[in-house]
Amino acid sequence: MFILNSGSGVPIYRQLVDQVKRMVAGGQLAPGDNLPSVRELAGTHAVNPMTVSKAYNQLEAEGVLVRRRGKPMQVANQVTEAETPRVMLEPYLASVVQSAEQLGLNKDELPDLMREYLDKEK
Amino acid sequence: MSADQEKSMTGTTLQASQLQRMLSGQTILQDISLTVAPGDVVGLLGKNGSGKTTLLETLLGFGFASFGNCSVWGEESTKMSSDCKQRIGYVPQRDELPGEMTAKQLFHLYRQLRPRWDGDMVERLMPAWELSETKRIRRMSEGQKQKLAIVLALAHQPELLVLDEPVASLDPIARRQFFQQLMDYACSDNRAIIFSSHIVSDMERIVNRIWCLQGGQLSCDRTLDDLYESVVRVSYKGELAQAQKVAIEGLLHSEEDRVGGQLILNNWSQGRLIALQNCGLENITVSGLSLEEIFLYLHGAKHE
Repeated sequence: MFILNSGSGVPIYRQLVDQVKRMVAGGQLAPGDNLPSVRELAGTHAVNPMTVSKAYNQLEAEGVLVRRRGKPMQVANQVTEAETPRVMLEPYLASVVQSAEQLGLNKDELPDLMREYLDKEK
Repeated sequence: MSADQEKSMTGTTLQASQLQRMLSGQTILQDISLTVAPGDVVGLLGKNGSGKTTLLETLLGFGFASFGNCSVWGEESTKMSSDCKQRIGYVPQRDELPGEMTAKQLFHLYRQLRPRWDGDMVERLMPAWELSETKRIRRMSEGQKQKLAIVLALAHQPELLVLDEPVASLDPIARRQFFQQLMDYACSDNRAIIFSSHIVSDMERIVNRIWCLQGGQLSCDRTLDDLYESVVRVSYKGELAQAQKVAIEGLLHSEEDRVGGQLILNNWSQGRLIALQNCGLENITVSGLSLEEIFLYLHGAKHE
Protein backbone atom coordinates (compact mmCIF):
# COMPACT_ATOMS: atom_id res chain seq x y z
CA MET A 1 0.00 0.00 0.00
CA PHE A 2 2.84 2.38 0.84
CA ILE A 3 6.31 2.83 -0.57
CA LEU A 4 8.83 3.43 2.19
CA ASN A 5 12.43 4.01 1.21
CA SER A 6 15.43 4.08 3.43
CA GLY A 7 18.36 6.20 2.37
CA SER A 8 16.26 8.99 0.88
CA GLY A 9 16.98 11.55 3.58
CA VAL A 10 13.28 11.74 4.44
CA PRO A 11 12.50 10.02 7.76
CA ILE A 12 10.23 6.98 7.39
CA TYR A 13 7.44 8.48 9.54
CA ARG A 14 7.50 11.60 7.36
CA GLN A 15 7.19 9.47 4.22
CA LEU A 16 4.23 7.68 5.72
CA VAL A 17 2.51 10.91 6.76
CA ASP A 18 3.02 12.45 3.32
CA GLN A 19 1.79 9.37 1.47
CA VAL A 20 -1.38 9.04 3.54
CA LYS A 21 -2.09 12.74 2.96
CA ARG A 22 -1.52 12.39 -0.76
CA MET A 23 -3.76 9.36 -0.98
CA VAL A 24 -6.49 11.14 0.96
CA ALA A 25 -6.18 14.28 -1.16
CA GLY A 26 -6.16 12.23 -4.34
CA GLY A 27 -9.14 10.13 -3.35
CA GLN A 28 -7.31 6.78 -3.17
CA LEU A 29 -8.28 6.80 0.48
CA ALA A 30 -11.88 7.87 1.05
CA PRO A 31 -13.44 9.18 4.26
CA GLY A 32 -14.27 6.21 6.48
CA ASP A 33 -11.65 3.90 4.94
CA ASN A 34 -9.63 1.83 7.39
CA LEU A 35 -5.88 1.97 7.59
CA PRO A 36 -3.74 -1.08 8.38
CA SER A 37 -2.98 -1.65 12.05
CA VAL A 38 0.40 -0.62 13.43
CA ARG A 39 1.38 -4.27 13.66
CA GLU A 40 0.37 -5.04 10.09
CA LEU A 41 2.24 -2.08 8.68
CA ALA A 42 5.34 -2.63 10.82
CA GLY A 43 5.42 -6.32 9.91
CA THR A 44 4.84 -6.05 6.17
CA HIS A 45 7.11 -3.07 5.57
CA ALA A 46 9.71 -4.06 8.20
CA VAL A 47 9.60 -0.71 9.93
CA ASN A 48 9.72 0.14 13.62
CA PRO A 49 6.20 0.10 15.14
CA MET A 50 6.95 3.33 17.01
CA THR A 51 7.55 4.99 13.65
CA VAL A 52 4.12 3.89 12.42
CA SER A 53 2.48 5.05 15.66
CA LYS A 54 4.22 8.38 15.38
CA ALA A 55 2.95 8.87 11.82
CA TYR A 56 -0.60 7.88 12.81
CA ASN A 57 -0.52 10.19 15.83
CA GLN A 58 0.56 13.09 13.70
CA LEU A 59 -2.12 12.36 11.10
CA GLU A 60 -4.67 12.19 13.87
CA ALA A 61 -3.50 15.49 15.36
CA GLU A 62 -3.78 17.09 11.93
CA GLY A 63 -7.30 15.77 11.52
CA VAL A 64 -6.54 13.48 8.57
CA LEU A 65 -7.25 10.28 10.50
CA VAL A 66 -9.53 9.47 13.41
CA ARG A 67 -8.93 6.88 16.08
CA ARG A 68 -11.77 4.89 17.57
CA ARG A 69 -11.36 2.58 20.52
CA GLY A 70 -10.40 -0.92 19.54
CA LYS A 71 -10.86 -0.24 15.84
CA PRO A 72 -8.43 0.54 13.06
CA MET A 73 -7.49 4.12 12.26
CA GLN A 74 -9.92 5.65 9.81
CA VAL A 75 -9.79 8.45 7.29
CA ALA A 76 -11.61 11.47 8.76
CA ASN A 77 -14.78 12.75 7.17
CA GLN A 78 -13.54 16.23 6.61
CA VAL A 79 -10.04 16.93 5.54
CA THR A 80 -8.78 20.43 6.23
CA GLU A 81 -8.79 22.97 3.44
CA ALA A 82 -5.04 23.43 3.33
CA GLU A 83 -4.48 19.86 2.21
CA THR A 84 -5.69 20.23 -1.36
CA PRO A 85 -3.76 18.35 -4.05
CA ARG A 86 -2.48 21.66 -5.40
CA VAL A 87 -1.02 22.75 -2.09
CA MET A 88 0.57 19.36 -1.61
CA LEU A 89 2.30 19.45 -4.95
CA GLU A 90 4.07 22.69 -4.05
CA PRO A 91 7.17 21.19 -2.39
CA TYR A 92 7.77 19.11 -5.54
CA LEU A 93 7.40 22.14 -7.75
CA ALA A 94 9.84 23.98 -5.50
CA SER A 95 12.40 21.23 -5.92
CA VAL A 96 11.99 21.31 -9.72
CA VAL A 97 12.59 25.07 -9.66
CA GLN A 98 15.64 24.60 -7.44
CA SER A 99 17.09 21.90 -9.70
CA ALA A 100 16.49 24.06 -12.75
CA GLU A 101 18.38 26.93 -11.13
CA GLN A 102 21.26 24.66 -10.24
CA LEU A 103 21.39 23.56 -13.86
CA GLY A 104 21.56 27.18 -14.94
CA LEU A 105 18.18 27.14 -16.70
CA ASN A 106 16.00 30.20 -16.88
CA LYS A 107 12.84 29.93 -14.78
CA ASP A 108 10.79 31.22 -17.71
CA GLU A 109 11.67 28.09 -19.65
CA LEU A 110 10.02 25.84 -17.08
CA PRO A 111 6.40 25.95 -18.35
CA ASP A 112 7.58 24.98 -21.84
CA LEU A 113 9.78 22.21 -20.48
CA MET A 114 6.88 20.87 -18.44
CA ARG A 115 4.64 20.88 -21.49
CA GLU A 116 7.27 19.07 -23.59
CA TYR A 117 7.70 16.52 -20.85
CA LEU A 118 3.96 15.87 -20.60
CA ASP A 119 3.70 15.49 -24.38
CA LYS A 120 6.42 12.85 -24.28
CA GLU A 121 4.57 11.01 -21.49
CA LYS A 122 1.57 10.65 -23.77
CA MET B 1 -1.03 -9.76 34.97
CA SER B 2 1.82 -11.82 36.36
CA ALA B 3 4.44 -10.40 38.69
CA ASP B 4 7.00 -10.80 35.92
CA GLN B 5 5.06 -8.70 33.48
CA GLU B 6 4.48 -6.06 36.08
CA LYS B 7 8.14 -5.92 36.92
CA SER B 8 9.19 -5.33 33.35
CA MET B 9 6.62 -2.64 32.65
CA THR B 10 8.11 -0.34 35.16
CA GLY B 11 11.59 1.04 34.85
CA THR B 12 14.31 0.15 32.46
CA THR B 13 15.22 -3.06 30.72
CA LEU B 14 18.95 -2.60 30.80
CA GLN B 15 21.30 -0.07 32.25
CA ALA B 16 25.04 0.46 32.28
CA SER B 17 27.11 3.16 33.87
CA GLN B 18 30.76 4.03 33.35
CA LEU B 19 31.44 0.61 32.00
CA GLN B 20 35.05 -0.24 31.31
CA ARG B 21 36.45 -3.50 30.01
CA MET B 22 40.09 -4.50 29.76
CA LEU B 23 41.20 -7.60 27.92
CA SER B 24 44.84 -8.69 28.20
CA GLY B 25 46.03 -5.22 29.12
CA GLN B 26 44.09 -3.47 26.39
CA THR B 27 41.13 -1.19 26.99
CA ILE B 28 38.30 -2.53 24.83
CA LEU B 29 35.46 -0.50 26.32
CA GLN B 30 35.71 2.83 28.04
CA ASP B 31 33.31 4.87 30.13
CA ILE B 32 30.10 3.55 28.61
CA SER B 33 26.80 4.63 30.14
CA LEU B 34 23.52 3.75 28.52
CA THR B 35 19.91 2.79 29.10
CA VAL B 36 17.44 0.59 27.25
CA ALA B 37 13.71 0.92 27.94
CA PRO B 38 10.88 -1.45 26.99
CA GLY B 39 9.87 -0.75 23.39
CA ASP B 40 13.35 0.33 22.35
CA VAL B 41 14.95 -1.05 19.22
CA VAL B 42 18.60 -0.10 19.47
CA GLY B 43 21.06 -0.33 16.60
CA LEU B 44 24.69 -0.71 17.57
CA LEU B 45 26.98 0.60 14.86
CA GLY B 46 30.72 0.42 14.68
CA LYS B 47 33.59 -0.64 12.47
CA ASN B 48 35.08 -4.10 12.75
CA GLY B 49 37.08 -4.31 15.94
CA SER B 50 35.38 -1.34 17.59
CA GLY B 51 34.20 -3.48 20.49
CA LYS B 52 30.58 -4.21 19.51
CA THR B 53 30.66 -7.88 20.48
CA THR B 54 32.52 -7.17 23.71
CA LEU B 55 29.94 -4.53 24.62
CA LEU B 56 26.99 -6.87 24.00
CA GLU B 57 28.67 -9.68 25.94
CA THR B 58 29.51 -7.40 28.85
CA LEU B 59 25.96 -6.01 29.00
CA LEU B 60 24.63 -9.56 29.26
CA GLY B 61 27.18 -10.54 31.90
CA PHE B 62 29.25 -13.00 29.86
CA GLY B 63 32.31 -11.24 31.14
CA PHE B 64 33.24 -9.02 34.03
CA ALA B 65 33.64 -5.28 33.61
CA SER B 66 36.91 -3.85 34.94
CA PHE B 67 35.05 -0.81 36.16
CA GLY B 68 31.48 0.42 36.30
CA ASN B 69 28.40 -1.73 36.35
CA CYS B 70 25.55 -2.97 34.26
CA SER B 71 22.23 -4.53 35.14
CA VAL B 72 19.29 -6.15 33.40
CA TRP B 73 15.88 -5.54 35.00
CA GLY B 74 17.72 -4.29 38.04
CA GLU B 75 19.83 -7.43 38.49
CA GLU B 76 23.56 -7.14 38.08
CA SER B 77 24.45 -8.69 34.72
CA THR B 78 27.07 -11.14 35.99
CA LYS B 79 24.81 -12.32 38.83
CA MET B 80 21.52 -12.66 37.00
CA SER B 81 18.96 -15.10 38.35
CA SER B 82 17.84 -17.90 36.05
CA ASP B 83 14.42 -16.26 35.91
CA CYS B 84 16.06 -13.18 34.49
CA LYS B 85 18.09 -15.17 31.99
CA GLN B 86 14.96 -16.91 30.73
CA ARG B 87 13.65 -13.55 29.64
CA ILE B 88 16.65 -12.87 27.41
CA GLY B 89 17.25 -14.09 23.87
CA TYR B 90 20.76 -13.91 22.44
CA VAL B 91 22.08 -14.64 18.98
CA PRO B 92 25.88 -14.64 18.93
CA GLN B 93 27.83 -13.56 15.88
CA ARG B 94 29.02 -17.09 15.22
CA ASP B 95 26.50 -19.79 15.78
CA GLU B 96 27.15 -22.06 18.71
CA LEU B 97 24.70 -24.74 17.63
CA PRO B 98 25.57 -28.43 18.05
CA GLY B 99 26.53 -29.61 14.56
CA GLU B 100 25.46 -33.22 14.94
CA MET B 101 21.90 -32.40 15.93
CA THR B 102 18.94 -31.56 13.71
CA ALA B 103 16.67 -28.57 14.26
CA LYS B 104 13.93 -30.95 15.34
CA GLN B 105 16.09 -32.48 18.07
CA LEU B 106 17.21 -29.05 19.15
CA PHE B 107 13.63 -27.78 19.46
CA HIS B 108 12.77 -30.81 21.56
CA LEU B 109 15.67 -30.03 23.88
CA TYR B 110 14.97 -26.31 24.11
CA ARG B 111 11.28 -26.83 24.82
CA GLN B 112 12.22 -28.67 27.98
CA LEU B 113 14.62 -25.98 29.10
CA ARG B 114 12.33 -23.06 28.40
CA PRO B 115 9.17 -22.42 30.40
CA ARG B 116 7.77 -20.43 27.51
CA TRP B 117 7.84 -21.81 23.99
CA ASP B 118 5.99 -20.48 20.98
CA GLY B 119 5.59 -23.67 18.96
CA ASP B 120 3.23 -22.00 16.48
CA MET B 121 5.81 -19.42 15.57
CA VAL B 122 8.50 -22.06 15.09
CA GLU B 123 6.19 -24.06 12.84
CA ARG B 124 5.40 -20.99 10.82
CA LEU B 125 8.95 -19.67 10.49
CA MET B 126 10.77 -22.90 9.60
CA PRO B 127 9.13 -23.37 6.19
CA ALA B 128 8.82 -19.61 5.59
CA TRP B 129 12.57 -19.24 6.07
CA GLU B 130 13.21 -22.42 4.08
CA LEU B 131 14.82 -24.29 6.94
CA SER B 132 14.87 -28.05 7.26
CA GLU B 133 13.98 -29.66 10.57
CA THR B 134 15.69 -32.92 9.73
CA LYS B 135 19.01 -31.80 8.30
CA ARG B 136 22.05 -32.02 10.55
CA ILE B 137 23.11 -28.51 11.55
CA ARG B 138 26.70 -28.98 10.37
CA ARG B 139 25.34 -29.57 6.86
CA MET B 140 23.54 -26.22 6.84
CA SER B 141 24.92 -23.11 5.16
CA GLU B 142 26.06 -20.15 7.29
CA GLY B 143 22.88 -18.29 6.42
CA GLN B 144 20.69 -21.25 7.39
CA LYS B 145 22.49 -21.62 10.71
CA GLN B 146 22.05 -17.93 11.37
CA LYS B 147 18.34 -18.16 10.61
CA LEU B 148 17.97 -21.18 12.87
CA ALA B 149 19.78 -19.37 15.69
CA ILE B 150 17.33 -16.49 15.28
CA VAL B 151 14.30 -18.84 15.37
CA LEU B 152 15.67 -20.38 18.57
CA ALA B 153 16.20 -16.97 20.16
CA LEU B 154 12.68 -15.82 19.28
CA ALA B 155 10.91 -19.03 20.24
CA HIS B 156 10.85 -18.48 23.98
CA GLN B 157 9.44 -14.97 23.51
CA PRO B 158 12.21 -13.12 25.29
CA GLU B 159 11.59 -9.61 26.56
CA LEU B 160 15.13 -8.59 25.73
CA LEU B 161 16.50 -9.78 22.42
CA VAL B 162 20.18 -9.21 21.68
CA LEU B 163 21.53 -10.02 18.23
CA ASP B 164 25.17 -9.71 17.24
CA GLU B 165 25.42 -9.07 13.47
CA PRO B 166 22.25 -11.07 12.80
CA VAL B 167 22.11 -10.34 9.09
CA ALA B 168 25.78 -10.80 8.21
CA SER B 169 25.27 -14.03 6.25
CA LEU B 170 21.71 -13.45 5.08
CA ASP B 171 20.81 -12.69 1.47
CA PRO B 172 18.59 -9.64 0.79
CA ILE B 173 15.35 -11.63 0.80
CA ALA B 174 16.18 -13.44 4.04
CA ARG B 175 17.23 -10.13 5.53
CA ARG B 176 13.91 -8.59 4.67
CA GLN B 177 12.02 -11.59 6.11
CA PHE B 178 14.08 -11.40 9.26
CA PHE B 179 13.39 -7.71 9.76
CA GLN B 180 9.67 -8.21 9.11
CA GLN B 181 9.62 -10.87 11.81
CA LEU B 182 11.69 -8.70 14.12
CA MET B 183 9.30 -5.77 13.77
CA ASP B 184 6.30 -7.99 14.32
CA TYR B 185 8.03 -9.20 17.46
CA ALA B 186 8.73 -5.61 18.54
CA CYS B 187 5.01 -4.79 18.42
CA SER B 188 4.29 -6.54 21.70
CA ASP B 189 4.67 -4.48 24.83
CA ASN B 190 7.68 -4.72 27.10
CA ARG B 191 10.04 -6.02 24.48
CA ALA B 192 13.37 -4.46 23.73
CA ILE B 193 15.83 -5.30 20.99
CA ILE B 194 19.51 -4.53 20.61
CA PHE B 195 21.28 -5.52 17.43
CA SER B 196 24.66 -4.75 15.98
CA SER B 197 25.40 -4.26 12.33
CA HIS B 198 27.59 -2.24 10.06
CA ILE B 199 24.85 -1.88 7.47
CA VAL B 200 23.48 1.58 8.18
CA SER B 201 20.60 1.45 5.72
CA ASP B 202 19.08 -1.52 7.59
CA MET B 203 18.97 0.54 10.75
CA GLU B 204 17.02 3.37 9.19
CA ARG B 205 13.72 1.46 9.14
CA ILE B 206 14.18 -0.66 12.19
CA VAL B 207 15.66 1.24 15.11
CA ASN B 208 14.53 4.14 17.23
CA ARG B 209 17.91 4.63 18.89
CA ILE B 210 21.46 4.43 17.61
CA TRP B 211 24.56 3.64 19.58
CA CYS B 212 27.82 4.17 17.82
CA LEU B 213 30.99 2.65 19.13
CA GLN B 214 34.28 4.25 18.16
CA GLY B 215 37.53 3.10 19.67
CA GLY B 216 35.70 1.51 22.60
CA GLN B 217 33.72 4.63 23.43
CA LEU B 218 30.11 5.45 22.78
CA SER B 219 30.52 8.33 20.36
CA CYS B 220 26.79 8.55 19.73
CA ASP B 221 23.73 7.59 21.75
CA ARG B 222 20.82 9.39 20.15
CA THR B 223 17.33 8.68 18.94
CA LEU B 224 16.88 8.40 15.20
CA ASP B 225 14.47 11.36 15.20
CA ASP B 226 17.01 13.50 16.98
CA LEU B 227 19.70 12.60 14.43
CA TYR B 228 17.44 13.41 11.48
CA GLU B 229 16.36 16.73 12.92
CA SER B 230 19.72 17.93 14.14
CA VAL B 231 22.04 16.97 11.28
CA VAL B 232 20.97 18.76 8.09
CA ARG B 233 22.15 20.09 4.76
CA VAL B 234 21.77 23.84 4.26
CA SER B 235 22.06 25.11 0.69
CA TYR B 236 22.40 28.81 -0.01
CA LYS B 237 23.21 31.49 -2.49
CA GLY B 238 25.88 33.99 -1.64
CA GLU B 239 29.32 33.85 -0.19
CA LEU B 240 30.66 33.02 3.24
CA ALA B 241 33.93 34.48 4.45
CA GLN B 242 36.29 32.05 6.17
CA ALA B 243 35.84 33.93 9.46
CA GLN B 244 32.06 33.58 9.18
CA LYS B 245 32.40 29.88 8.51
CA VAL B 246 34.58 29.31 11.53
CA ALA B 247 31.94 30.99 13.66
CA ILE B 248 29.19 28.60 12.57
CA GLU B 249 28.46 26.22 15.39
CA GLY B 250 28.50 22.50 14.61
CA LEU B 251 29.79 22.87 11.05
CA LEU B 252 30.63 19.36 9.87
CA HIS B 253 31.35 20.05 6.25
CA SER B 254 31.11 22.82 3.66
CA GLU B 255 31.25 23.03 -0.09
CA GLU B 256 31.07 25.99 -2.45
CA ASP B 257 30.29 26.59 -6.07
CA ARG B 258 30.14 29.75 -8.16
CA VAL B 259 26.78 31.01 -6.92
CA GLY B 260 26.58 29.60 -3.42
CA GLY B 261 27.27 26.48 -1.49
CA GLN B 262 26.11 24.02 1.08
CA LEU B 263 26.83 23.39 4.70
CA ILE B 264 26.34 20.24 6.72
CA LEU B 265 25.41 21.31 10.23
CA ASN B 266 25.05 19.49 13.52
CA ASN B 267 22.71 20.70 16.30
CA TRP B 268 20.36 22.34 13.84
CA SER B 269 17.28 24.22 14.98
CA GLN B 270 14.96 26.47 13.04
CA GLY B 271 16.13 29.43 15.13
CA ARG B 272 19.57 29.26 13.55
CA LEU B 273 18.17 30.31 10.19
CA ILE B 274 18.27 33.98 11.20
CA ALA B 275 21.96 33.83 12.04
CA LEU B 276 22.66 32.47 8.55
CA GLN B 277 20.52 35.15 6.93
CA ASN B 278 22.48 37.72 8.91
CA CYS B 279 25.64 36.41 7.24
CA GLY B 280 24.15 37.71 4.00
CA LEU B 281 23.06 34.33 2.61
CA GLU B 282 20.00 34.05 0.39
CA ASN B 283 17.70 31.30 -0.84
CA ILE B 284 18.52 29.17 2.17
CA THR B 285 16.98 25.71 1.99
CA VAL B 286 17.30 23.08 4.66
CA SER B 287 17.03 19.42 3.73
CA GLY B 288 17.49 16.11 5.47
CA LEU B 289 20.25 13.55 5.03
CA SER B 290 20.12 9.79 4.90
CA LEU B 291 21.35 8.01 8.00
CA GLU B 292 24.40 6.84 6.09
CA GLU B 293 25.34 10.40 5.14
CA ILE B 294 24.74 11.56 8.70
CA PHE B 295 27.26 9.02 9.95
CA LEU B 296 29.84 9.75 7.33
CA TYR B 297 29.71 13.44 8.21
CA LEU B 298 29.57 12.93 11.96
CA HIS B 299 32.66 10.77 11.79
CA GLY B 300 34.50 13.12 9.52
CA ALA B 301 34.84 10.53 6.77
CA LYS B 302 33.38 12.74 4.08
CA HIS B 303 36.02 15.45 3.89
CA GLU B 304 37.62 15.95 0.54
